Amino acid sequence: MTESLVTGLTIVGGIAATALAYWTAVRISGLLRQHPLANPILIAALLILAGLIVLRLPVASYMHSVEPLRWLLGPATVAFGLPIYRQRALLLSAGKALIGALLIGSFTGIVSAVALARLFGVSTNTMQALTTKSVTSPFAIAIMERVGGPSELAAGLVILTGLVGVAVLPACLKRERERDPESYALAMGMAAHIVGNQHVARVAPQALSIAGLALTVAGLATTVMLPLLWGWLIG
Amino acid sequence: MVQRFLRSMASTLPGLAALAGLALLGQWASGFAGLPGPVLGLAAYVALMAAVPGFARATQAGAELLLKILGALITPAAVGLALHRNELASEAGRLALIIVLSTVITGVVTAYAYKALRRWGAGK
Repeated sequence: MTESLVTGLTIVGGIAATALAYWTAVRISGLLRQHPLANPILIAALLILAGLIVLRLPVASYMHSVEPLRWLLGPATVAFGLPIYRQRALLLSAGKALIGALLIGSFTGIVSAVALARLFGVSTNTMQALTTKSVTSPFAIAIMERVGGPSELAAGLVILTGLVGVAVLPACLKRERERDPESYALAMGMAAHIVGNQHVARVAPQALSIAGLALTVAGLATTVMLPLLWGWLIG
Repeated sequence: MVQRFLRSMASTLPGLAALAGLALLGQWASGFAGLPGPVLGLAAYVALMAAVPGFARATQAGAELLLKILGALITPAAVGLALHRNELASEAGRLALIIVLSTVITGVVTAYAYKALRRWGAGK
């Protein structure tokens, strides 16, 4: 009885701490005018880690306490169906070019990450986690659980990739940003997923629906492609 | 105010229940299909909304809520990176280089592939 009460309180404490940290992080990000490096997920994670260090609690026990949040990632991934349904007209009109570009982009994202990982000689664990760096975290976790890769590491690298994407891609695609916002939004949604979407919402709001579609379609394309390529790439 | 909050929470319940049901259904089907369960649930959700437009209206409040709190749901995964700190510290420089180069390659290839395919489609 006492043990289950302690477990229950630990879960409530972990979830409440996460909610409070995220709420604070969103406000901090707002104060910093949503600067790309002031990503709410990154700030919330740093706040939680600081809290764990101060309270001398192990990260593993925090991870155990927030397991129910992980269960919600399944329904949250399903919820990505809503933007796809709402953008169905765009998907049908831009159709082949959009889907073709996202398939090429997804393949490039996976293969370039593994090729560079082999070139620079990182561990197999890191190489596996890098394969999903160009999809948003719920998709990365779902894919890793399916193929047996390191899901926490993959989800963390996804966030780092988003931050890197909005820091370096605007300089590489300066001409597209000024003259072809559709291509720019597609590239940002593909390579920097949610963080890229937030950036497009600020600099090219007219093309935000393309970035949102890119985020979801890229997740789906990688989900289908990666298990097929897994043995060839990682084996 | 409390009443309004309770009413708005109640409006999300059908959507949350439907999405949880679809995620579970996807999990069950993933055993045969070889794809992650939530992604199969997503495909089923889009198919259901296309077949029954009222389904989108009934579930949108729940779906919007989950998408809105997605950042909070992902936060524990970012905290989990700390469990890999030793591994990451030994590879930090190489990892940063890989992420920068691969992200640039992916973004640039996607933008130029879209331009080329759009031009090719218009020229046909």
